[in-house]
Amino acid sequence: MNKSMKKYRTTWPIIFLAPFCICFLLFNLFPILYSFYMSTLDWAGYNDKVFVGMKNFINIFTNDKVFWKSVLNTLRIGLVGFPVAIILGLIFAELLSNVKRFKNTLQTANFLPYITTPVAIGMIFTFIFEEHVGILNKLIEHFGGDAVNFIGTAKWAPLVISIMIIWRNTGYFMTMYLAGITSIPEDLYEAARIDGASRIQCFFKITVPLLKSVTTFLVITSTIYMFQMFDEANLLFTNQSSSTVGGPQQSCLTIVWNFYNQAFGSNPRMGYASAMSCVLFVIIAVVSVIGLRLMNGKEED
Amino acid sequence: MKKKLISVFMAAAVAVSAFAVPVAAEAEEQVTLTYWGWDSNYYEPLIEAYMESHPNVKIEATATEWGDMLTKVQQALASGSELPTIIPMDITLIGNWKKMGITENLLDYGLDTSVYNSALIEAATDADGNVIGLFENVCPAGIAYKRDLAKEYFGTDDPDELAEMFSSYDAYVEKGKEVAEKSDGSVFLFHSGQAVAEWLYFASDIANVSDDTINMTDKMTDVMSKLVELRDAGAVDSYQNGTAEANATYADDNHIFYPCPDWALTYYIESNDPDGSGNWGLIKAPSGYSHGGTAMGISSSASDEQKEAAYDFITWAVSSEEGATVAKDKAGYITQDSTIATDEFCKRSDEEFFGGQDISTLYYKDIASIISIATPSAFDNDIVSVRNDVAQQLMNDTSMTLEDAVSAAVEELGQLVTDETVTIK
Repeated sequence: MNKSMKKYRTTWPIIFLAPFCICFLLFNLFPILYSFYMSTLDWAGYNDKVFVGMKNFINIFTNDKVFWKSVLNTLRIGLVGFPVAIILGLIFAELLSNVKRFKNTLQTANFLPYITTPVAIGMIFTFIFEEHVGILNKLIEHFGGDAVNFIGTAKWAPLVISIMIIWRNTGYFMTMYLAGITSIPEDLYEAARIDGASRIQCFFKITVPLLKSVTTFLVITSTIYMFQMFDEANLLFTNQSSSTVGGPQQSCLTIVWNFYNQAFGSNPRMGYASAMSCVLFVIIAVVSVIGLRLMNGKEED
Repeated sequence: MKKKLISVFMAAAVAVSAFAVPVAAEAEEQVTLTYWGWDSNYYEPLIEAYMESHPNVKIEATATEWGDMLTKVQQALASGSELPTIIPMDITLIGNWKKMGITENLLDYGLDTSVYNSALIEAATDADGNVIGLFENVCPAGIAYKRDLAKEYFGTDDPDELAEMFSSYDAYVEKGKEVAEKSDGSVFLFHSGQAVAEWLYFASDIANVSDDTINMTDKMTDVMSKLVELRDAGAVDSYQNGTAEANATYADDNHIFYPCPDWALTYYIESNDPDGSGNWGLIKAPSGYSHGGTAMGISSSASDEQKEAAYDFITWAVSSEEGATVAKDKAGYITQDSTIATDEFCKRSDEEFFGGQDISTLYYKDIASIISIATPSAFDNDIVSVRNDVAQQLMNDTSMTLEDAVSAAVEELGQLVTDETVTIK
């Protein structure tokens, strides 16, 4: 190998990869490692740092009922919202894939909630579910029922956030499934139809199995998104006059909202919040790996 | 001739240098200050007027959400970023600002506290006697009412007669029952349990914290006992305070009273009921109280020059005729400086909105002179969050008793406050 060829093979790759590597080290790896370091500190962010070792982690696992309550809240909200959104996304994609007219219009209309800003979503849902003037309660009253304080009670508020998740994400999931459906060869459907398969049979026997990779991707990313949920809940219960941390009876306090409150609340605990984020990191990693194994394991079989 | 010419040139040179020196000095003295704040109605005209009369000072303002102010400063501190020179501090969070210890002691700059409202100065003073900020204005609060509804349900809309009729909390309970019966439950004295709890919280003289103990049981009993009585009398509706739906009630025919600090006239009543001019009145609450307020402090990390200029701006805003007038005219804020806040100065321009009632005297003489402020603590924001939640729970669940509410409040606060150095009682 001559000298210029060697230089071509060693120098240029480094030059091209360097920007990414430097950015990754500075903005990804360093913050993650620094966060691990902070989790061993008792630090408010503005005072002296005191090294406390594993005390923050021990506290999370032995004393902190609120952390585990926030984990349960997150699961309760997410496990109602995301599976429904994924299933609806799949159904809408299947229906839309066979639509000949106004397909793009319908696709755009379904996708719009996904690009709506969370603040606007918070306002829209307040107008729908508010006790006195909310559209839903007006309907309930119209049919002789009593108005329900959906947003103000611990019983209903988490469900409102789940519905918010469904409303926001269904269009995105639908778009992903639509892209997947277009890659399924038409021959398969034709062959099935010749063999006498109904549309529903085609859907369950061809579409659903062949969209497995899309479903796996959506389940994994939704799981990560679920554990990072913050905006939806926070925006619904934050205003200058009647803000509450975690909504009614903290029923909507998600892991990240709890983390945010610990890190940047009126009495901040950066060290403790970092420990929380480390635990969250582990939870997301473990759940994602389990999810991947479960979904890909069957494929290997 | 030559000599003459030289002397002319020399004279000209002296004259030029005489003008040049101050220009150079002025250029050197140019100071830039930064200000983060949420109340643009107040700070924008004030900064503009100050920069006009102080051309050597430039103030750069950054709009920051009320709820984000403390967080942003904490983030700046944690990341080592630059802090604003002038820091507005809300009274609910002033205990936290004291704890952070990042602001200057205004006494070191020669602040004469004798001319200011003693309750507000006390609220801004930390445990070491440092005055960490100067409150922009006094915030006396009363109870605003709709005249047409008052006349319909109480037979009068006269503020004096109504003040006498509603001189105690029990009177509100009794009249609340009467109104509920008369209107078949469609008209309420108040629109929101959270708003009532907010009023009772500020009116309560029980300190939130004493000797490292959060007096949650005492405080919440004081606040929630009255709310429970009012709720059971059917006097309070269940709107969530501060929402668009709740604000729309200012213009409806179903809610009579609104707890009302002076700043709420502009921010809530006049903006939410623009057609209600002449239909509003104001009475004193059973105990005079103060609601809200923002103190301006100086960041300790600023340079000496900036600190001096920031102090000048703050005292100009509160204690100069010019600054106080801008604050009054543009934001409706009345300074806490007694040498400026004369009867004539305090005369509000929006009294016509209140049917020509002399609300200025009521606010700034009758109420402001008797207000007391419970000592702020670093846990006030958490207590307020719990208060809001429990008040809403009380309104949602009419079977919830006072004991249930207080124990829920204590439990919830225990989950929010993780500081091991304090006890929640």
